[in-house]
Amino acid sequence: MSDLQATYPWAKFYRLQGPLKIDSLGQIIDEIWAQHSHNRRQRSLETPVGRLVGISPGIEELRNLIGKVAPSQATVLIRGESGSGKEVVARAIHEASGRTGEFIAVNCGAIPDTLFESELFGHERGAFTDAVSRKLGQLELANGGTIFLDEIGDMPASMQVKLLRVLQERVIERVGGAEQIPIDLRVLAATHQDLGEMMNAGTFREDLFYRLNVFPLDIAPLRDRPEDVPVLTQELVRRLRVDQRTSVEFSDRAMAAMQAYNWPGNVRELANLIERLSVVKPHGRIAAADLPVAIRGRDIEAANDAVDLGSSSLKQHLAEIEIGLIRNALDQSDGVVSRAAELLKVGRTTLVEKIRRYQIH
Amino acid sequence: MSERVILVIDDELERAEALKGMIEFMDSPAVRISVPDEWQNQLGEARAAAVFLANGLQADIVDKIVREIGDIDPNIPIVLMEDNADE
Repeated sequence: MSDLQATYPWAKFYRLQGPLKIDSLGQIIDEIWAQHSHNRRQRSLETPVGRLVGISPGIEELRNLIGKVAPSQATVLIRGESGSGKEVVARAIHEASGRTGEFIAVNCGAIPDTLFESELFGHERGAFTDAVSRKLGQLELANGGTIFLDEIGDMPASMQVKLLRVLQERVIERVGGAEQIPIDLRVLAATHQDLGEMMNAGTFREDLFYRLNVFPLDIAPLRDRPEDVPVLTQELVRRLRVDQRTSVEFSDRAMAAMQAYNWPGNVRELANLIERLSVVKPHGRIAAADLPVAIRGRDIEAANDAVDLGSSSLKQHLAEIEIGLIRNALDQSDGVVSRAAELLKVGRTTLVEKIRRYQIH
Repeated sequence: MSERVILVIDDELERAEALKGMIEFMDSPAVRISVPDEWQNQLGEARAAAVFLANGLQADIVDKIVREIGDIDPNIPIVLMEDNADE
């Protein structure tokens, strides 16, 4: 067995030699559980898809704050633009909290006002016309765990007061029920809106705001942390390689263009772009010319980026540039070939022939 | 979430039960795997917290188990029982 560590360098081997003694066994058992505790914590902070991946000071600070707030019972208000990963942060807090119950996410912006109370608090059979059976609400389902109220700014005023009561008294009442049900909840909320401003405008309750804003966490938009774009890209590409067996990589110029872009859709937009690029070019090098015009801009240097690449022939380079330009034109024209031909200033027949030859889909 | 348990993979009943008993004495759940080649089936719904491999298991079986552990979670500790650890 002495060669095992050399054969499997990733493995965590321990050796227990000589007669079995309670001391040496106990030491190993302690190490095993300590290691599990460490791994669990590490994993809980290594959240999925590029979410808390990053090297910027803002993300490092965020990871640090999550580590501090997670084990507490404090209500957390997560603020960030759309696509910045608010739910990911919420999940990371839940996973690192040690709470054994479920993580339940509720998008307050997606529930019609009339269904809100039933959705959140549940209902008893016969509470209203369609209530043919008892239904547990999201708050009750999260009992022992964490409820994540996304887009809390969209919560109707009538529900804000009911939520406040839950936060104060830690009990719920199903719609149509008389029983007060005690619940043990960690409440996390998120918004892309300025709740302080809404509070001043009278559209968000002041008392609820202060109840939620116990521990605010801000996620910086991606445009303010361009140094995170390469590491996020690397992580997203790695995940696609595992899930879809693609192997794309990005040229330096393409990465520079991506770092300079303002990413209004944040990490979600980056993830979507990489997924799309890995579909159209699953095993190649992504040049700046392959990026959408909005990202690479229209400068000729970006279009010439492919010339820097690898050792393939001039003909291949030119073909790659041509493919990139055709794809962009098709993107801009929503796939209408005649319109793309106009953009490229070539005849429709010529473009159709090139699409066929390059097998552009 | 399924429980994490410590596996004792050993086809020698008496030795395995002695080790399992000591691990359980330390408040750690343990499961004895009597057919090393089928450890995953015998584990069932539980998850491995660590794997104790008895001295004397065939090298190819040990290799197979280590590879399979790596596929599941490379962080799972593997404890190699050596020499007279069973005495």
